Amino acid sequence: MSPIPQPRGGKIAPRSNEYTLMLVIAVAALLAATAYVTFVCYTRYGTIFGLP
Amino acid sequence: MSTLTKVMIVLLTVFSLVASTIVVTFVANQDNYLQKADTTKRQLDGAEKAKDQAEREQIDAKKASDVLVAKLEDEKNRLTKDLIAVREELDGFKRTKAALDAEHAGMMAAVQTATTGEQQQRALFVAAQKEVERLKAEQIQREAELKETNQMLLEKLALISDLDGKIRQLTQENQDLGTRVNQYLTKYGQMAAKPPTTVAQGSPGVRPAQPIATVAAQTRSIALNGQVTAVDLRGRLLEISIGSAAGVRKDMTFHVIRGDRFVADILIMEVWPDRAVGVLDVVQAGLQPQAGDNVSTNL
Repeated sequence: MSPIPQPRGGKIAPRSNEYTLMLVIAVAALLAATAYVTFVCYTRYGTIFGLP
Repeated sequence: MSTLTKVMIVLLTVFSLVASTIVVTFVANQDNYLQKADTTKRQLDGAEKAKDQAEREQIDAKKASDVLVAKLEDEKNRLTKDLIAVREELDGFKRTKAALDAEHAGMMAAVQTATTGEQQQRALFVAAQKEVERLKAEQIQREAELKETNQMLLEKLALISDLDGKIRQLTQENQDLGTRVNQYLTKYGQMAAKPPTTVAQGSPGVRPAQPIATVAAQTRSIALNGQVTAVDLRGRLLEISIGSAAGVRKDMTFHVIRGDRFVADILIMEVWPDRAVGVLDVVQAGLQPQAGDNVSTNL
């Protein structure tokens, strides 16, 4: 997979690295959201899973 | 890599981003329930303490109110006693007022009676005063009539005196004539007769008193003078121009004079304030009274 787009039959076909990057971004977003929620729960209630 | 895998990767990425965004936004906007719970708990504790304080205050207030009620009850009892005393005093005042009202009514009746008596006495006084004035007027009138009668009496006495003088003169002449006749009879040899005398010379009964002239002069000084205004010879009545306002009274005698001549005497029968009517008493022979003749009480 090359970062330079290759015209193929009139359609734009991303390379496989781009999908990997998209997966990385998705995972990173989920992790960041999870980390934020964890941080907030911990700072507000002092615990992550249990009841304060 | 198949197309389906690629689509799934894209969708997964998109959904991941969307879900992450939603979760982060939701969590960021959520309240801090722990803090809110702590705050609420503190508020609850404060409310509990306030409740306890309020209950204690309520108890204290109840105690204070009980004490106040007891005080008010005592005050009520005292005021009730005072009210009873004041009512008794008011009853006494009412009885006193009733007695004073009765006394006032009696005094008013006495005042009314006194006022009525005073009015009656005043009316009697006024009537007596009028009677006194009337009697005074009558006395003045009687005094005037008495004075007039006295004047007439003095005039008559003066006239009697004059007539007595004439009688003495005639008697003297008669005696002189008798003396002459006796002289003639004696001369021709006949008995002389005593000349007749009708009145003794120097008789005190007919001798006029000396002050008559003075009284006559006084009578002349207050004489009434007027004029004849109408004559009725058939009825022998005359009307003169003076009346009671000038001093003319009933039964007075006036002399009718024309110039220096005596015409008649009239006796007053009716008197008005400004005129009087009399009846002819003595009329001079050959003369008849007529309107315009003078009238006077004195010649």
